[in-house]
Amino acid sequence: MMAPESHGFAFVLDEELSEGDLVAAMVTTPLGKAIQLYAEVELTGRTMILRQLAVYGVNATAGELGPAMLRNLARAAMEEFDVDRIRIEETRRTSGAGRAVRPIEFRRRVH
Amino acid sequence: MPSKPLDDAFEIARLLVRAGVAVRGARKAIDQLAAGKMAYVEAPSVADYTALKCKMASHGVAARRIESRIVDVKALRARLGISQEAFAGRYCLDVATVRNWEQGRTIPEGPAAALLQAIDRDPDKIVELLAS
Repeated sequence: MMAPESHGFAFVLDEELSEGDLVAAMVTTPLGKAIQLYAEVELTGRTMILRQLAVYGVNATAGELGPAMLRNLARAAMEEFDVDRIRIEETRRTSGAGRAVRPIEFRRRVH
Repeated sequence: MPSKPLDDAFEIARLLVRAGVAVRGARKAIDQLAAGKMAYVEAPSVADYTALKCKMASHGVAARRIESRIVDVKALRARLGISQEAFAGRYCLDVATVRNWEQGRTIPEGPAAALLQAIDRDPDKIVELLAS
């Protein structure tokens, strides 16, 4: 387990549920909410590409997993894994309804 | 099938992986369950089905077991008291295929094995379902 850094998020990779490029990770938010993430991960240079990303809340409601929290989570992940970009591709709605979600890209802030 | 929203998707996936389901299969299953759908997995290493069912239930998932077993076609037909021709005709099967199964030349597999299991369980219901 990795200790919470200044960003306040703690990331724990779940090896038993990971295989090859398929990675399972438990994330604890600064507010103590637990989130489970499943994605196929590819590292290209300093870009982390997440495909088929699925987010499951453990003790968090859908409202607590809003865009702002997910943006903060992406920023924390960029720090944690020392990459400059996170690109989320090929994400489908869990319900399977409607079109696939367009790719989303997060960039690391330069201080 | 989930009876309420998944409370811990990873624990459900872990139970499946420990029951012999491939990691990617377990991931697909929790995605389907999270979407409120049924998930079908092949779990070859279930040591205690009742315990697994209880653990799944504690996470809001109602587990059901579908077992594949070999049906003794000759014994089934004898129980029904009908000829090979009548058995084949009644259940939309090829009579030569029925003969081969009974004589052990071939073994029913896949959909045929599933049909035979269903016939074995409720022969009249299957006739009713197949009848137009």
